[in-house]
Amino acid sequence: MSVNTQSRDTSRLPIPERSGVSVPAIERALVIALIPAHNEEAQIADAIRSLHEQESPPDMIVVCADNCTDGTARIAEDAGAYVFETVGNEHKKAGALNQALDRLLPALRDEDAILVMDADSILVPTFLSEAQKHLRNGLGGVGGVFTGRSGGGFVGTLQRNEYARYARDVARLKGKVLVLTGTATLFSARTLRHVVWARAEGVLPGRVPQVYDTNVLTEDNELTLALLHLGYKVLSPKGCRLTTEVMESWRDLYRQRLRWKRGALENLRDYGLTRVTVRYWGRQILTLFGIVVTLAYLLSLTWSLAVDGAVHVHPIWLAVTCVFVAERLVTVRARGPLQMALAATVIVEMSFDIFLQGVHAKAIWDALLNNERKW
Amino acid sequence: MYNSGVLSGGIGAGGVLAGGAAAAGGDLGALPFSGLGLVWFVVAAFALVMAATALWRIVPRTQA
Repeated sequence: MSVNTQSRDTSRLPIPERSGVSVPAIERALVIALIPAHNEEAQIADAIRSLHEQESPPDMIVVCADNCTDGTARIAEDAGAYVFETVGNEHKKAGALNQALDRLLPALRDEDAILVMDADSILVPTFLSEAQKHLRNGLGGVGGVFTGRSGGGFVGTLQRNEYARYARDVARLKGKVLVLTGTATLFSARTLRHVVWARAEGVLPGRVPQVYDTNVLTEDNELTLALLHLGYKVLSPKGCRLTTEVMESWRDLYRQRLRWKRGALENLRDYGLTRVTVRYWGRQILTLFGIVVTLAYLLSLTWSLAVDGAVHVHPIWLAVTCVFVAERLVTVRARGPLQMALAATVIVEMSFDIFLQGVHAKAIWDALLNNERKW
Repeated sequence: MYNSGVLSGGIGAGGVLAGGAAAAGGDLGALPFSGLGLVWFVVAAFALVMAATALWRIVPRTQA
């Protein structure tokens, strides 16, 4: 890919004038890391450090401090990042990112790249070099494959197992993913400008000429759909690994998943049935069917116990159950023997899956009735 | 904190389906005796399909 040597307009960068900072005068393509942060003082330094430790570090790190009431901005500056404080933002993460990108994009050349990452993400040192390599091959975005960090007790353990299975699935699919996650994704400036243009022209939902749609609950999922509808391909290669926080209580996990699942459903509703969304709709329908089947199964078990006073186990279904036990065991192997033993019990992880199914059912219900959204 | 939405479309389907299918496979023998023949058929069919996908997930495969 050729590099445009036209000089960059740095006057609109999302950096306070008092900092006296300008985009580095480098002729090669730049990489700028953008971290939206709302009261992230406990984690922001680690996220920034992981950027400094990259084999190919970003040319600039910008933290979008969004309505922070803690020490996020100070800690970010101490860690070597530039801090952009949002003004009057009422649209959470998407709004914060839009404010920064509105100023950043006009200052960049098409070949420059922007890494958008969460403040609780810690990237492996190969992340950026690997992502840049793939981005130069014309992808719309290169995302990360995440695993869960320690903490959260038992509910944290279940999430870490879940994330480990997700990472295994992505690796087996050679990096093909449904979503470029907000945990960390590298985009080219050209691609993001294309999205802004498409929203302005009504080609994509959102209407407002900005990168992120602020009307949605899952802005990363929506942006992925936007890129796919514009004809881009997306990837999460093996070298782009990172760790992220897990929810530390069942209540937090419930809220998080309710938002994710409802957000995904509403994204699909916004886009309708298209060549891109058909596989997403298919998964939604299968998941819904899974919920119905699980419910039917549990009800019938109860019925059987109530009427017969016993359940009848047939060898063929025991064999099928063994297949599922093997699947649970093998797919969590990366987490070690203890977690394999937990998976072997089936009942523990099955309970977690039923919990997630319940959240999914609630998300469908809320989306159908258009109930009030809670972040 | 800010979170990603990956599981809504990613693990959401895979993990939940596997869990649902595990539930379905766990003790299907009870269903024919409950008088819910149609329910039994649907659950059994779903469990078998999910068992096939579980096998697919077990089979070793070159990773990227």
